[in-house]
Amino acid sequence: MNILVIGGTGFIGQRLVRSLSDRGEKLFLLVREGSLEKAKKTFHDLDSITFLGGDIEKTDLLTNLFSAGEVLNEIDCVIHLAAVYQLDVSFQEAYLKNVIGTQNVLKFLGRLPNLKYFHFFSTYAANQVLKGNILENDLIKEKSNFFDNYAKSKNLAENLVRKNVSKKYQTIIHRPGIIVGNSQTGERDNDNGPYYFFDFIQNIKKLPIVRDKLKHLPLPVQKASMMPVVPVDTLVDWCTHIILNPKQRELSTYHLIPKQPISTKDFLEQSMKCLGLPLEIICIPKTKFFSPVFRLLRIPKELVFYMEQAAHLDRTNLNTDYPQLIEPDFKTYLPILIKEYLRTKT
Amino acid sequence: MKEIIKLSFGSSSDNFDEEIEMNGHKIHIRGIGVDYDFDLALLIVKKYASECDAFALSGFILDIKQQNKTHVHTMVKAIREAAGDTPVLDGNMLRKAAFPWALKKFIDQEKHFLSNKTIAFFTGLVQWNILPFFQEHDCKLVFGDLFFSMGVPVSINGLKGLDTFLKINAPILSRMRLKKKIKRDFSAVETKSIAMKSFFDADIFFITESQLKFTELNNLEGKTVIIDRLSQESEEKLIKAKAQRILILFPSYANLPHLSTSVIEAILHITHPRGILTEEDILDYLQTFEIQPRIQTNDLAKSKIDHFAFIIHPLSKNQIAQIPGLSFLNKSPLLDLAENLAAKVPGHHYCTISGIKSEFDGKEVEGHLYMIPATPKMLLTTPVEKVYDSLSNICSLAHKRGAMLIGLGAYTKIVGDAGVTVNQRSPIPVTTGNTLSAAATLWAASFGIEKMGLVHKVDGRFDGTCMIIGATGSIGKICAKVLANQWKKIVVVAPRPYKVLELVSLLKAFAPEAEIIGTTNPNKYSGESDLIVTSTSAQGEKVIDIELIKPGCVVCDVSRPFDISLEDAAKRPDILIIASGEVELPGNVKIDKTIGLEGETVYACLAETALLTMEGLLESFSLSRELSYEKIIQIDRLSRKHGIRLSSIMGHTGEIKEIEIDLCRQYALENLKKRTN
Repeated sequence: MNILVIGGTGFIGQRLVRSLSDRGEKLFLLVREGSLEKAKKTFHDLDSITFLGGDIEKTDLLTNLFSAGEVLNEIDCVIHLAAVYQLDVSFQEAYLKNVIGTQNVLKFLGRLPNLKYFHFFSTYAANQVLKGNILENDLIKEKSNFFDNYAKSKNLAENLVRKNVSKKYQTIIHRPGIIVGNSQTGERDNDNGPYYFFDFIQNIKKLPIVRDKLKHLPLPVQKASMMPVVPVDTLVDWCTHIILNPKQRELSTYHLIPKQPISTKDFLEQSMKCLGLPLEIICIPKTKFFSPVFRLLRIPKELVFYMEQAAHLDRTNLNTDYPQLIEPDFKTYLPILIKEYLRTKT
Repeated sequence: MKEIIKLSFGSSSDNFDEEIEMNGHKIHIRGIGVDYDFDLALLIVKKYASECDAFALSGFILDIKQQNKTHVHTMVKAIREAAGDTPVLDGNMLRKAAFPWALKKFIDQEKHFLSNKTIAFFTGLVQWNILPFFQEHDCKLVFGDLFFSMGVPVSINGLKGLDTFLKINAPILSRMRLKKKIKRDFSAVETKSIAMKSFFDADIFFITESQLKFTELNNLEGKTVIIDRLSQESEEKLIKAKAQRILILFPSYANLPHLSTSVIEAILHITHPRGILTEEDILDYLQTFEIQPRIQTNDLAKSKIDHFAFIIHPLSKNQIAQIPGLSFLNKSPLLDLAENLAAKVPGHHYCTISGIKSEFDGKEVEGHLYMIPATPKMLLTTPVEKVYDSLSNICSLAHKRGAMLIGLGAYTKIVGDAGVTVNQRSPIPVTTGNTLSAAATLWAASFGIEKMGLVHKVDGRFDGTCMIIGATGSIGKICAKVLANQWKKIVVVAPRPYKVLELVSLLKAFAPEAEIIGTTNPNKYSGESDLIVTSTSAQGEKVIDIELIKPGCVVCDVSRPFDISLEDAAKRPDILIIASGEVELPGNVKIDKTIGLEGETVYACLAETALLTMEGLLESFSLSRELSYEKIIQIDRLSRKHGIRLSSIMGHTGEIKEIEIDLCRQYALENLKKRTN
C-alpha cells in the first residue's frame, strides 16, 4: 500500500510509521514545514518514507502541495492521527487542531482518486459517558458536559468523520483506550493520563499519616469504573494488523482496549503496591469536599472521569474482525511502567 | 477557487465543506460551528481572514434596530473588526427583501393566513425586516422578548411595546454574551404566567432557526409556525411541540442544504463584478431564482381531529317557539315580538356534530354549530352591516374554538353579498356550501326520476323537459348547466327578464344540443315539465301553481323555506316533491341537538364544510352567488371519495319511502291516462 500518514511524528505515530515501514509499506508523511528537519532526523534510518510539508490547520495547503497530482494518484490509504493530546488543553486550541484539522483532512480525501482506506484515530473517551454499555458503533452527539476539552474535540471530530463516510473508500475508526508506555521498556512520551495517578501516589506517600498510619485509603472511585489501559507497543501492533488487513465495509469502528480492562480501584491499588504504598482503597461517593483536596494533591480534574466512569466498553467488532489480537498482562507490565516512571522522575 | 467560511454560532456537528459553481465562479463553502464559544469564533476569524474571501454569519445576534438607531451587537462588531478587510455578510439585506416576498406569495395562495391573526414573536429583537409586513396586514403583534432575553415571563404587546422595550434594553442586549446554557423554556411558563397569556394565545408563532436553538417551545398544538429555514433538527423540535403547520420562508436547496441567506449574500458579494452588493442585486437574484415559500403540515396534525363550524338559524318564527322553555309562545300573539327580540340575541354555540370520519383515509372531523336566532324575515330586514357583524363575530368565536373553516347555513348566505364580506372579516375561510347543495339537488333529482321511471333516455339524454325556477340564482344556474347536458329541453325561470336572457344565451353556448327556453312565468311550461328544480328566495311566497304541474313530475324544492307549501303538496299526490339537498355524512355521526332534520341527515351546505375540512381544502370554496361548474364536478368527486352521499330522499314532511314513490307513480300514471283520454 501507499500510505499517507498525517501525524506520524507523535507518540503513537512514530511507532506506527516504523511498524508499517518494517512491513515494507511505502509511506508518505505529512509534517509541518517547521518540523520537517526534525522528522527527517527521527526517521533517518528508514528509506521508504517521502516527507511532505503541510499543515492540517490550513484550509488549502494540502491542495497546493499536491497540485502536481502525481502523489495524489498514488495514495490508496490515509492514516490521520494528528491531534493535540492533553487533557487540560483549551477548547479553542483543541478545536482548531482536532476538529478543523480533521475537517481539512476529510475535504482533502476527496482529492485522492485512488483512495481505498481512511483510518481515523479517535479515542474511547469520545463517548464520555458514565454509565451504560458503549458500543463501538455508537457515538454520542451534541453533548456539552465533557470532562476535558480533548475528549470533547475528539467527539466532535469523530462525529464529522462519521457524517462524511463515503462510498468511495472505507472508513476505519480506531478508538484506543488509555495509552501507556511500552510494555517491554516502559518508554513513554509524557506524563498524561494514568501517570497523574502515579504522581498522586508519590505525593500522598510523602504524607507521614498516609505512609505510616493508614491501611485503607478512602477515595471517590466508583467500584465499577474501569481503566482501559493499552501499552503503546500493543496498540501499534493491533493497528498495524488492522491497517494491513482491512475488512470490506464502508465504516468500521474498533475499541482498542483490553479484553478485560482493569478496574480503577485495582489499577490504583496495584500501582500503589509497586510504588511502595500497599493500601487498600475504600470506594466512597464523591462529594464537593474532594475538589479542594484534589487541588491540594495536584490531581488534575480531568482524572475525575477515570474515577467516575462506570460504563462498559464493548469490543465486539474488534473480537469478531480480529480475534487473533493478543495483549500482555497488566500485572506483568505495570512494574516495568513504574520502573521507567521512577527512573525518569528522578 | 474562492472561499467562503460560514461561521455558525451553533454546533460544530454541522461543519461541512461544499464546492459549488455560481456565476462562472468555483466557490468553496466551509461551514464551521463554534459550539457557542465566542472566543473560538474570534480565533477562527483571525486565523482564516487572510485565507478566505468572505465570512457568512449564522446564529449570531445581528443588528438591533430601535426607531432610527441601529445597535450592532458587540460580538458581531468584534468579528467584523477581526476580519479586517475580509467582508462579513449577515444575510440581512436578503432577508429584508425575501421574507416579506415569500409571505406575500403565500398569502396570495391562502388569503386568510393573516386575517385577524395574532402573531407571536419569541423575540422581535432582530426581526425589523419583517415586522412592517405584518403591521401592513393589520396583524396583532405580541413579543416574548422580556422572557427570551431576561427571563421575565411577561409578554410585550404591539410594536409600540417592543419599541419601549428596546429603548431601554437595546444597549444592554447588544452587549449580551450568548451562551447555549441560556435556554428559554417557554413550556415552563406556559401555564403559570397570566402575564404571557396574550403570547401563548397567538395564532401564529414566528421564530428563526437560530433562535430555536435557544428556545424550549411551548405547546404549539393547532398553531402555525413561520420559520426562516427548516433543518431536520428544527423540524423535529417543532413536531415535538405539536406545531400543526410550518411555513418555511426560505427554500432549502435539496442538494445544497447549507445555502442560508448569509451564505447566498456572501456568494453574491464575492462574485459581484464591482464587489459591492446593493439592494438592486438582491432583487435581481430574487427574480432569477424564484423563491417559493413552503408549507408543511405536521403528520400528527394530519391524524388529529380537525374542526369546522357552521352557522344555522331558525327557518320560521314557529321554530323559536320550539326552543325549550319558549313553547308557551306557540300560536301566541307574542310570537312576533319574540321573533324581533330573538334577532337581537348574539350568535352562540348551539351544538356539536362528532364522529364524522372519511371513508377514504379515516380522517376525522368535528363540527360546531353556531346559532344566530334570527328568522329569514329578520335576517332580510335587519341592516346588512349588522348581520355581517353578527356573522363575523361567530367566525371569530369559531376560530377560537379551533375551527378551520366555517359554513353559512340557510339565509345567512343569502344576506348581502352572499358571504364575500363575512369572508373578508373572518379569521378563517368562509364557504356558503352552495356547491354541494347544488350537487345534492342533482343527485336527488336523478334519484327521483329513476324511481318514477316515467322519462327515458334517448341518445344519452332524458327525452323530456326540465324546468329550473330561480335559475339565475347561485344553485339554480349550476343546476341549469349540469341538466342542460342531460335533458333534451331546458326551461329556465327567473323574475328578471334580462337575467333570463343572459342565462339562455350562456346555456345555448354551453349545451348547443339542448333546446333552451327562458321565461319569467313558470306556469307556462309546468304542464310539460318532467323535472322541476326550484331554488328561490321567495320566503314561502307561492312561485308556481301546483295544479298546472304535469302528473308524475319530480319537483326538487331546494328553497328554504319551501317554495311548495304543505297544503299545495297535499293537493297533488301524483307528483314527487323532494326536499332535495340533504345528505348523510360518513362515520358514526352524532349530533347532540336537533338541527331540524331526522337522524344523521344534515344540510348539504353543512356537509360541504365538513367535506372540505376532511379533504384539508381550507378555502372559501363557494362564495358569492356565482358558483362554478368545475367546482360542482370537483365536489361531486370529493363526496364520492370521502363517502358523502344522498340520504334517503326527503319530502316536506320527512323521509320519502319507496312505497310512497310507488304510490305517487300509480297516481301519476292514472292522471296521465285521464289527461290523454
